[in-house]
Amino acid sequence: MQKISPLKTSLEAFKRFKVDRAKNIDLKNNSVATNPFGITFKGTVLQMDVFESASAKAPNKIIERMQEAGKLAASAWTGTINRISSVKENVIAFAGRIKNNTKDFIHMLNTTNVEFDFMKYNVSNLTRRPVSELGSMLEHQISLVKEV
Amino acid sequence: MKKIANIIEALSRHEDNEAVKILETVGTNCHIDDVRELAVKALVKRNSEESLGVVIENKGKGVNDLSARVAMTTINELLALKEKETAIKVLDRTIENHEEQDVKDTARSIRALMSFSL
Repeated sequence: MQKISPLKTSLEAFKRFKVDRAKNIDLKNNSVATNPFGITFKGTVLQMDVFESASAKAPNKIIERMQEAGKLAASAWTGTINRISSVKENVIAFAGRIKNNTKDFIHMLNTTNVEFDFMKYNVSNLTRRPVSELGSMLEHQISLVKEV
Repeated sequence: MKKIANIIEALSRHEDNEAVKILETVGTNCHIDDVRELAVKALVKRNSEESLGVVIENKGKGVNDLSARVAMTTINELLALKEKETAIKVLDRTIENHEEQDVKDTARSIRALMSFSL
């Protein structure tokens, strides 16, 4: 029976490790693909990296979000401008109406004879007047009705 | 029209009998039916012999007005009087003494109506 030497066993194990390492190095040198998935493309050399890394996508999302936020801000601004313009038009129309009403009122005041004779033609006041005066007043009022 | 109504109302309340003349000459001779109507109402409201004589005895005025509306208003006002003695007295006088037969007939009709409403 052969005696197992610890030194000899360890040397053999070291030789096997060297052979395996050499095989691994050869395999790495012969492969074209550099991607981490170990896929070969049968001789086709990729000029650029077509794989999108997770770290590359993150900034795009932020940009998109910023763009979307920009769009929202722009639409909100447009809506605000429209609203302001409509409010402005309403205010201008209201002011115009007020102005026209005031002008009409002033015109009415200028053209209307304001008579404070509701006290004069009060029945109790009229009974205190002489009959002759009432007669002339009645004739005058009837003549005014005639003219109309 | 409101002013005219107020003046006629004041004349109907006025103590001076000259008011009857004004109501007769200006009111009952007016060409406007509304004014004549207001005038006869005022004359009946005064309820005196002079004022009732104007609306009962005169042809073309008061109960004899050409406007049926004015005539009917006068008759209604006469029938609505609370104290009808003066009106009956004037009506009887008209029935007995008036020259115009039409005026007499009208007065007789009103007298009959008034006797029913007593």
